[in-house]
Amino acid sequence: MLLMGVGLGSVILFFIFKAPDVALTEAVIGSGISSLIFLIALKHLKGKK
Amino acid sequence: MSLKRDLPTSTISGFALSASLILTILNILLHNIPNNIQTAGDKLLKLNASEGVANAVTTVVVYFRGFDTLGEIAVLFIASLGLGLMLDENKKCDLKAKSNFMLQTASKLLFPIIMLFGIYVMVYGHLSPGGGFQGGVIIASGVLLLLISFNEFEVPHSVVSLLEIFAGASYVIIGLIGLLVLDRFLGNFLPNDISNMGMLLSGGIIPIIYIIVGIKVGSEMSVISENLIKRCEDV
Repeated sequence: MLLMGVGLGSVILFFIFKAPDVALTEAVIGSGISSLIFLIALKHLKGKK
Repeated sequence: MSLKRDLPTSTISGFALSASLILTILNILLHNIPNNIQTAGDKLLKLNASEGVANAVTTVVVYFRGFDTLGEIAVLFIASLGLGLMLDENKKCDLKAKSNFMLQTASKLLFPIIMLFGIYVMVYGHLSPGGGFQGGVIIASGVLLLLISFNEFEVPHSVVSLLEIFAGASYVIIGLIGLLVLDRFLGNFLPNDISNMGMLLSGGIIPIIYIIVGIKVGSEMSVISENLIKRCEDV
């Protein structure tokens, strides 16, 4: 939840600073890659238990 | 297990803290931008025009701090190496859930667009604030989409290792050529006129360095995500 807030805030900040490509990259990382890493960690934990 | 959980107070307070911090930063930025702050960046920004690169961020990251960028790539390489060591290569476990038809069709449609956008961000790295790291991560997210939608898809390891060897070696070699020619690591030995500032072919070695960084970051992030998805831990 904290990560969501920080990601959204940084996307807005990047866009204000005229860096739309960095903003898009931050959105990609925040929505895609970090959530996938969390999901895979959850899967591994479930397998161990 | 019920979906409703009561949030701990630490989460709420942390969220409120970060929200107030972001709002404060936005407020400061939008209303009273101070114009007499002297920091280390100002001296670098004055030097920026001498290199003939349109974007100041790129000049600082690649040129003035080029050696640190090499260190960042090394950190990413070590992270990829550690994942490869920790996860057993022989124990393959696919995702249990089969992806549905919609995801497969959409990823076939979206993968070329994502790759094209990543290459665009990489090639235009010296004209816009983005660059090699951003373009590489975008390409890796395209590969990630293919990995979660097609169970039988595998990253071609021979191609990826060749790309990574090429990128890492040529970064160091370009840096050493700069050291030989101009007595500086990553010296800008290619022609960099200020007259064609803002063109695609400008800025000497900086676009080449950024494309190399993009190739390396993209291949490493793809291999990291493939390792995380396709392998089980050996416990």
